[in-house]
Amino acid sequence: METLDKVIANKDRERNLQVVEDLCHTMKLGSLCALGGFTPYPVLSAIKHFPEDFGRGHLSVAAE
Amino acid sequence: MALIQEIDYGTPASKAEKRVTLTIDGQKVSVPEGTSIMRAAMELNNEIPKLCATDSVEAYGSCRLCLVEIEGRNGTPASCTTPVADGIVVKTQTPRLKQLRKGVMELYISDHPLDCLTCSANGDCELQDMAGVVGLREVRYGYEGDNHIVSKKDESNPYFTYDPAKCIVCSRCVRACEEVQGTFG
Ligand code: FES
Repeated sequence: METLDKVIANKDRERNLQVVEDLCHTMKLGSLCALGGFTPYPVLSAIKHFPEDFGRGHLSVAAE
Repeated sequence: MALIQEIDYGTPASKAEKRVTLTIDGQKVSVPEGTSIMRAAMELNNEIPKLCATDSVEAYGSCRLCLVEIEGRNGTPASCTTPVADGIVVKTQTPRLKQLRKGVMELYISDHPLDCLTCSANGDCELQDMAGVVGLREVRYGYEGDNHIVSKKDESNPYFTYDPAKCIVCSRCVRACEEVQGTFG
């Protein structure tokens, strides 16, 4: 959450987004319980399908 | 420094008579049924990174550092809590596992003080050793967020100090009290 807040606040955005993605991959396979293994899915889909909301993709390119 | 350096097989020995043969990183090994993959690997001198497991207490599976891959099975099970099975082929070192272990370790260290040099456990610290083993070099989360680093130590017990800043919540102390000492609760 704290790292996503940094992404939203445009602090070191691309680097922090990478941290979030890495965390999601760690959680997917590393978690002890199914909650930890599943939680990354909505986060990763949001980043994948709505990249502009995270400062990635066409919209942000146009805006910059 | 610990006085006696004994081999830690990670999980207690199995007393089963039946033996099971499996392959770990290309090497065949035969162990009693019910042995953990971690212990079987240690029989081959193949030390899988671990934090929560130790052979004087039952496996618990909380630290997620000992993850391995088994051919034909999904996911990355913990080798301390996964028993051997006949004919399985285990891999303990792959790029994916390396990434995972590093990711897990990065999370641990993100809520751990960086005072190794002045810490009483310096040089005799499994966390420090494992950070080295998995090749952790930086913690990208930063230390400005919520964490336990400023939490107060609990020194109310004459036999141990509980420092939330240094604890990794592996439950090893609780398990030792219960299983080895028999004084829990
Ligand atoms: S050693 Fe297996 S999960 Fe900790």
